[in-house]
Amino acid sequence: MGTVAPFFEYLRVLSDFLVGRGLAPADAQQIVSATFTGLLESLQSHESPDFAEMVKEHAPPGGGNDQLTSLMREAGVFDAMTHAVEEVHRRLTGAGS
Amino acid sequence: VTSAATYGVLGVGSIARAIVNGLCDGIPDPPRIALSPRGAAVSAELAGRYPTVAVAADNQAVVDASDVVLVCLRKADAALLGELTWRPEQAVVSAVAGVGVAQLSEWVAPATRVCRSVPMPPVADRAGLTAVHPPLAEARTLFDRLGSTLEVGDVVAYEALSATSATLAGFFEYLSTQTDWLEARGIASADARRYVAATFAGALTSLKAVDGPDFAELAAEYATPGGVNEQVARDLREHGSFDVLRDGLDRALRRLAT
Repeated sequence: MGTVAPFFEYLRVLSDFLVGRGLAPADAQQIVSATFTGLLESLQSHESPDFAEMVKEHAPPGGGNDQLTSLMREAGVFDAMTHAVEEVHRRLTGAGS
Repeated sequence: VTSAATYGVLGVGSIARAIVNGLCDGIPDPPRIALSPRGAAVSAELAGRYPTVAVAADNQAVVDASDVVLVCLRKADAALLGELTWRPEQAVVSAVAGVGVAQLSEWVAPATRVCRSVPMPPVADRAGLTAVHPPLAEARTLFDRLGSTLEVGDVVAYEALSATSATLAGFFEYLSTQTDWLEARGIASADARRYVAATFAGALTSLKAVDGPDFAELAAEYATPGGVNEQVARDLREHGSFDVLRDGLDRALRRLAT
């Protein structure tokens, strides 16, 4: 899928953020990697995981996850993603061209 | 502190369960662990599974029984620490987000060996990497048993780490968006979920295989020039999606600053 590279960009932003706050680059990479590879099992333990449900599990109301996800939603991050995937789809299929 | 230390756990929810499983599951000589009765179902389940784990009568009994007390309470409940009687030689390892060492120390006086930590679910499989601030020998012993320990001396860097743990739900929202989009294109819901899960399980597996991953390099590996990954990444960047993420992290950090 066309969405894996942006995911690694997401991790790069996190790692850069930590380095900007004083963490050693190797430590920042290691902890960001550990945080997300920790989710591997949750992706593999269900035949077809319900991601909307997993969003809820990881974002108790009022917590940091809830706040950050709402912020990204309101800023149109996920809409931008839908548009980007649309555009890729259009290019791949020649639809509308 | 040796492996003979007795652990106490205040607040027995999902992260406490992961810690207890990591300390005991398949271990020939597991530590003794006293659990608070709150979260009774989880406590009872763990005490039933492991002979060295017991449910204490109340929170004070947990503190009385333990050399090292793990605090897994919600922030809203953490003030109850101040109502308990502590011993000077006890170590207190907090997993409560947003409560600083000064506040913790005030609550648990005369105990002075206090630190904060961010244990994550892989501790259950002894594969966690747990950030600790400030470094504390008892915490290192504990979290090394559960994988490894990242000691962070600087409070700003530590709180930044807590802020990044607020990005997990956003990841699942990202996957959810892709699944919804595939469904709208006529792919059956279960197939869409399975496909997206497999794609990202693959990405995480390759991430896991790298020691000291360089995310820019990984992104570049997937983003063939002129290819679709590059385009989606560029569209998101141009839309300002990653700026929103940065701003969000700054806001989370301000909220967590103690």
